[in-house]
Formats: sequence, structure tokens, C-alpha cells
Amino acid sequence: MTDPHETARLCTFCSLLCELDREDASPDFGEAFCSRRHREWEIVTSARRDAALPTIDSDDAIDAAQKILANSKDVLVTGRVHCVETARAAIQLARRFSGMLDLWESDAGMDAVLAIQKNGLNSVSLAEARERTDCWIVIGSDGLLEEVPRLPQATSNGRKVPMLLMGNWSAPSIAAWKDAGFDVVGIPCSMKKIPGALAEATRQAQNMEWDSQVGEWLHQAKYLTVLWSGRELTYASNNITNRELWIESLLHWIAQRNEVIRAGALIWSSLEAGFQQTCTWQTGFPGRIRFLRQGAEYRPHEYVAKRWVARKAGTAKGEDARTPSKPCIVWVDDTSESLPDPIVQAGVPLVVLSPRKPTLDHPSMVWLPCASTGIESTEAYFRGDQSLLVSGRNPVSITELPEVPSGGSRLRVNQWIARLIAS
Amino acid sequence: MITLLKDIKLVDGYGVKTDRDAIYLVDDRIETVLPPGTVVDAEYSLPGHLVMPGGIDLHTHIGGGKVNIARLLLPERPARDAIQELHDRKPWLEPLSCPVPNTWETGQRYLQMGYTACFEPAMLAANARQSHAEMQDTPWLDTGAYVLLGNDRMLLDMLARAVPQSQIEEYIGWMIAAHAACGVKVVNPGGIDAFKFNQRSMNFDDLHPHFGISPRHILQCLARATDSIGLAHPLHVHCSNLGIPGNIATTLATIDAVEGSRLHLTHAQYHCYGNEGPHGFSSGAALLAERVNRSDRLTIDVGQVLFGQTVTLSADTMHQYANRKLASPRKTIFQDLECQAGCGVLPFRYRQSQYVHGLQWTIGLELFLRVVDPFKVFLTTDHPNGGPFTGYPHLIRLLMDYDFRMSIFERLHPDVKGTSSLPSLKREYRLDEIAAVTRSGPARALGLVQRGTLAEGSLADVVVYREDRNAETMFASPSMVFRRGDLVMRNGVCLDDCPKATILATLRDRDRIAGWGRSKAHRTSWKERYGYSPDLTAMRLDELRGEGRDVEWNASHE
Repeated sequence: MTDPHETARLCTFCSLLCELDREDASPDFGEAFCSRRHREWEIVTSARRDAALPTIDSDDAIDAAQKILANSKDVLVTGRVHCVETARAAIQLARRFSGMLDLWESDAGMDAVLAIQKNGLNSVSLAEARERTDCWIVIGSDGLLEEVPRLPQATSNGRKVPMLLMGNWSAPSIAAWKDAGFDVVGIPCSMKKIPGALAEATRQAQNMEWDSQVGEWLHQAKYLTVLWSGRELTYASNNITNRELWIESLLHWIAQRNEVIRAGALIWSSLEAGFQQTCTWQTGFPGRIRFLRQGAEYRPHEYVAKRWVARKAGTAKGEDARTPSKPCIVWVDDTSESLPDPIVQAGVPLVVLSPRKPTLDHPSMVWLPCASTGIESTEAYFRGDQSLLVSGRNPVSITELPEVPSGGSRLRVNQWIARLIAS
Repeated sequence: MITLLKDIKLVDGYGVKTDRDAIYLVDDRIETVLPPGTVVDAEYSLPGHLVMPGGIDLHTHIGGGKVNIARLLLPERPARDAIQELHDRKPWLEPLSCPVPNTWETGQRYLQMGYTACFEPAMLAANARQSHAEMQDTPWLDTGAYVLLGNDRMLLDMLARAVPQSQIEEYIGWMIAAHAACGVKVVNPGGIDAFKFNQRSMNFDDLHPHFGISPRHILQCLARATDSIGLAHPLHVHCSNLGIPGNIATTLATIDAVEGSRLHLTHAQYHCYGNEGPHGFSSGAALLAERVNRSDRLTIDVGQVLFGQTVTLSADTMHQYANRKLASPRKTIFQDLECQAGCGVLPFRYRQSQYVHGLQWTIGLELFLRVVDPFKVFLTTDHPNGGPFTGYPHLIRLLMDYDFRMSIFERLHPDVKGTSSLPSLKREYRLDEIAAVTRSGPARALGLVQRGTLAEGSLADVVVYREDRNAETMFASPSMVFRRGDLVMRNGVCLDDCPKATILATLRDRDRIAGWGRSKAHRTSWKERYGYSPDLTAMRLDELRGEGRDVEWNASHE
């Protein structure tokens, strides 16, 4: 029996995971469709050009990586993990070497997790919000649209629905929401103060700081959706010192609204939500774990990759690379971004699984060149609301990428890891 | 590979095989005789043991959005010392690390009890790929899932527009096939969606505030469709008014409404409450059991409550939300999902001393004991809602041992003891009846003709138990489990991983069904509703295959 459907074609450059019609997949990747896609395509192709120079003997590379791992008793597995297949492999690797596991940019995801683990959540998925919401509150700044440029189109169902745009939005961003069909009122305000302002607005509608139109919208709403991106809260410019508490306050406000009307949070995640989800079903925890003999141990404030690197970076300097207790980092990356500076500067033995060749030239560094996931291989990704796991065919043909170096096609991250573990 | 198990008692739901005391596992099949001169690779003489087919849990929440959300919500772990202390005394009492354990622990603990196939009962179409991904990561178990319909706006809209039943059946068939399901479940028909319109309760004949259709209408349509498209498993129904005193009337109305169609009522314990007695909450188990006994088209699984900490999770947001203040610890998650359903997660502790919880415990047991034919009632706790699946051996002992049952009954709230008819039910389950409620019955209800039986040619998924007067000890710690003829568990130690299958529904007229997803009009209306094409959530069969995985088709309903 055959499958009773076609296979979707996706853009996997941001967590909106837009479906591509045939004409959208043209090789020029014009900005007309999506600025993020245009930008990411440049990154992918430049990474590909840089990495196309050397040829790697995969047996030698695996041997060298295995030596590093064998000499270490303190392994950190970190990186940028976007798809389920890479997440599974990274977990397997950390388990095999009793390592610590935390994504490099895990703050945004973990802030929300910690708030939810304390108090719970009322949430709504994208399609539901699109269909049911009669009043949107969108919190953030231009950064949200840089991260997910087509979010206004994705949230609009064509009806003119009221939207309160709170935070720091420029005129072009406000226009983007309006163009998508929303009846927008911009409320410039400090991000930090928004949960308090919303609570105050509900308690004392008559004393609201903003105009009466806003008060009327809030008052008449039957289904309210509050949208924000976890990543934006981490921007220093937003000056939110206790992000967990900020999220808790907002979730509490949404929970209170549900006593009377229906309301939900739409917390927009990056593609790294895929790691969080996979790690949760495989280990019981969303990340920030260390594998011990009896299983995974979860310490969300302690097992933090950035802290581990900062701690080890100093102590590692000057030590003999062959010392068995020496720490090592396995950088697992299914993006084409470059290595973050702290990793480069850490001075600890490093195994890099990434499509991009590290600029670092260090005797204790091994690079295992990987295929670009979502481009050269089909993988499964979570949409930013984490309600949908999708798997699409490659959005572009491999012929549109710079030539693969002689020596053959590249392995996927999980294939490299399978080889690393096999020994 | 040929394995001989000899000097052993053979028991399945069809009886104890008094004429045989040996069984051959030839590759992945059971054989009773071999050609003369055949060399056996492994031979086990097992006096004092019995063999049963692998256990089948037809309703256990093991994969998908709400399951993972529950894991996320509950990172707390019991102290290691406490676990070790229990482990030293009785290994089977070792608590799960979490009421909703990770996938590996789920597979391991089920296998250690002799279960070989489990079914996720509430898979959202939008969430199908995640559900299957989690189940694929659950080792040792074959898995399947029922797709959740009856609150999806595509269907509600079709019903509101009075679209012909044949078109609705194409849609339902497509939803099953495209999301790799083996059944259809409906949860609080229309009620989850009504809650999104801020309606806080919905009776069986109430109208949906937007679509103007009733739960009765939705249920009738789905039950007819399930039979018509040839699904082996009848419509899997979570009735309206879950947990509400007096809901037995709704449950009986539900049964009456689909007279002529097959029906499976799930976690029936939560749906047979009267509103009499000192607390306005009483048992309706006798009424429901009487209906089940009378019908040849009706089956139930119980959803037995077991005392202790757990977490309740359900697509029935309406009723989960109504119970939010009962959460323990006090944190809950509610989600409105993709115009298809919802999700409510609520940690919960069932207490012996609490009147309602005690009565729920007796109602579940009443159902088991009052339904005469064990092929019509299946053993579940609706894991984790009534309690974790690791409580099954304890539950089996409750069914097989009247004195043990009464020893727990005596500890309940005085008003439970004063009103419950449980003491008068002296029935004790026999081994073949246990085999029926835990494997043979579920296999038959799911159209798995090669499972749940020790007959010649059946699947060589078998379990060896050491006979013990204490049924809890016996069923908690089988000596051996074979999957596809290979030994995969011995004395609690899980050996090699083994091939897994995803069980899929065989549908009549698959070509017609496939046409639904290809129709331009349907694709347009889907895209307008969800913002993406139906291809986005649909799964390819090759996603379910590979690396020791395959698909298995059940028998079609004729």
C-alpha cells in the first residue's frame, strides 16, 4: 500500500517551518519571500565554500575524536541542535560518555521551562490562535520579526483582529503586522514592566495608561492570545533581570483571565525546542543534565554549558592534554553558524560536528564535517509553538550548493555520532 | 531459531491447555509440533511455570504532546534512598522515576511485566509524528495509536453543513491512514472545542455554541464511519461528562445512541457515577455492567484507580480545567491545540481515606467483577490517569484474591464501606480470565488475530511466569519474555533490543480514501483552517520503518 498523501516541502531556516510552493523554492532565494531565508542561505553557502577546501579522511578523523573522548572523564556535549535526529544522537553520545548535556543557547528555553515547572501553563498553538483569537497581545521588539519574519502572515487568518503591540517596535515592524491584516495599536513600553501593566489594566480598567480603544478591546475579548519569544527576553537591551519571574507573572495573569474568558500564551521558541522535546521524552528532562550510573540527573541551574566552559577554560590551561581527567567538549551543530568565541578560546580538547569548518587551528581539535541538515538531508523539526513535528523534503536541490569536496558526500551528524559510539 | 518450552502450563484467554505441556517458538511463530528429526536450538524445562501470550495494553498514554508535557511538568524525582529501600524488599514495588516515565523506562517496565504491545489512545493528527517518534524510542514494545477525532473543526464543520456521510468517511479514513493510526478515539465529543468558546460544560444533547451540533450527532457519525470503513477496533469513546456525579445517565445514553454500531467505552470507571448516597456520589457500575453483559457490540476498559501519586492527562480540557483546584502538587498545564483538540495535565494523588477516591476504587473493581465475559472488559488504569501501569500486578491480585481485596477495602472511608456492594462480589478471576483481560481480549478488540493466543501459527511473543500463590508477585516478575521467538528478558534483566512494529489499520477502499487528501477543494479548506497543507502532518510509511522497525497491518472488520 502506498501513502495516501504527498510529502511537504519545507524551509527549515526558522521555527515557522514554512511550506514551500514550487515557485518559492527558486534558486535565487530572493528576499521577497523571507529576509531570514535570504540571510541564512548566504550563511549556508559561505560555510560550504569555506569548508570545501580540505578533504577529510573520515577514519583518521574518527580515530582522533575517539582519542580525545577516551582521554577525558569530563565530557560536555553542547552545541546548536535543531532537529530530532541530531538531538537523539547528542543524547546518545552524552549517555555513552557519562557526559553533561546542555545546548549552548539554552537560556531562552529553560527560562520558560522553569517557570512552567513551578506554576504550570495555559497555552495555545498557532493554528488555534489564528482561528480563535479575537484580541492579540504581542510582546517584544523588532527582534521577533528578524527571528521569524513571516510570523505576521502566519498568525493572520484574514479577519481584521485587534492587536496590542507592546514593547519596542519600529514603524516598519508595526507596518508588517498591519499589512498582515491586524488592527494594530502600538504601546511603546519597557518589556520589564509588561506583566505588571497587564495586571494593573485588568484590575483598574478605568485608570489604564493607554487609550480607551485598548481598554475596550481587552474588555470585550473572548479569546485572548499573548505572544512572545523566549529568546527576546534574553536580550540585554530589554533589561529583564529575572526572566523566570517575568514569565511566571505573565502566565499567572493569563491563568487569571481564564477564570472568566479564554486566554492562552503562545511562547514562540527557536528550532532548539526540538532538542528540548526529544531530551524530555528520552530522559525525562528538557536538558541541563548529566548522565550518571543510575540515569540522568537534572540540575537546571548548575549543568549549564556556558558556566561549564567558563569554569574549565581557566583550569584547563597549562595541563597536559593526555591527562585522563582532562575535560573535553563535543560541539554538535546542525546549523552552518561558526563556533562561539568562548568555545574557541576555552583551550579544552574539542570535537566539532558541524557543516562549517572551525577557524580554530588547535592540535586538540577534530572537525567532523557534517551535511547541512534540512538541506542535504531530510529531518524532523518542531515548529516554534512546539505543537507540530514536521518532516520535509529538502527545500533545495544539492546542485544549488557549492561543490562538495572530492572525497564523497558528507555524513549527517547522527551518522558521525553512531560511528563515534560504535567503538 | 527454534526454542522449546516444555513441562509448562499453557494459558491464554481461551483457557488452560490441558492437552499440551510444551510449545515451540520457531522463528517468530508458535508451533505445537515439529517434523521428526528437527533440531531444537534452545530448550527450557519449566515445571512450576506457565506461559501466556505477551500482554497487550490497549489504552495507555505513552507517546505524544500531552505525555511529554506531563514529563516536563514533573521533574521531581523520589529520593534514591527511598527507591533502594523498596527495591531491596520487593523489586516490583520500585516506583517509576516519574508517573510518566521516559520512553526507555516505559519500554523496560512494560517488558519486565510481560507486556509486548501498547496503544497510545489519544493521538492528535497535528501531533502524530511526535507520538510515533516517542513510541519508536520506546524499546521492546510494538505500538499503535488511535487518532483523535470529534473535536476537529474540519469534522465539526462538515457535520454542521450536513455533508454526506460517505464524504465524512473518506475524511476519517484519510486521517487514520495519513497519521498512521489503527483506530479512532473520540473524547468528550464536541466538548473540547466548545470549551474553546468558553463553554464550561456540555451534556450529550447540548448544542455546540458555534457549530450547532450535539455530542450525540458527532458520536453517531463517528460510530457509523468506524464500522463502514472497516476498522477492526470499534470507535474508542471517552464519553461526555467525565468524572461528574450522575454521569452514568450520559454513558447509558451514549450506548443507546449508537445502537447497531460497535462501541468501546474507555476508562469506564470514570463514566459510571450515580449521584446518590451521603455525598451525592455513588456507583453506577451495576447499570453499566448489565448493559455490557447484554450487548455483543460493546466492550469496555476500566481505568482502575490505584492509590498514590500520579498525574492525570487528557485531551478533555473542559473537565481537566474544572478539576484544576484538585491538582497536587498545585500546578497544571492546559493547551488549546490546532483546531483539533486540547490537552490538560494535572498532577493528582488518590488517597485511601478520601471518600470519592475510595469509591472510584470500588467502582472499577465492581466493573471487572460484574462483567461476566472477560473478553468484554480489559485491564487498564488509563495510565497514568488512574495510576501508573506498574500497578497492574497489584490490580491482578485484587481481582484474583477476594481476601486481599477486602483487606484494602477495610481501610477505605467509612461511608464507602457503608454503601459499596463490593463485599458481596465474591468472584475471583481465574488465570485464563486474567489472560483474557490482559491479552486475548484486547487482541481480539484490536483485530490482532496473531496475538493474544497460543494457537499454532500465532506470533511468538510469549511470557513465562513462575506460578505463585501471590498473583502480584507472579505477574510483577515473569521469568522470561520472548519477542518474535527471541529471549529478550530474563529474571528482570532486559537483554537485547528487538524488532518493533507500528500497528496500522487495514481500511476498506483505500484508494477512495487517498483521494480525499488529493482533492483540491479539501486541500484548500484544510489550508484555510490550519495554515498549512494536509501533507505537513501526514506521515510516510518509510518514517515508521527502518533500524529494526516495521509496520504491521491488523485485520479489517467484516
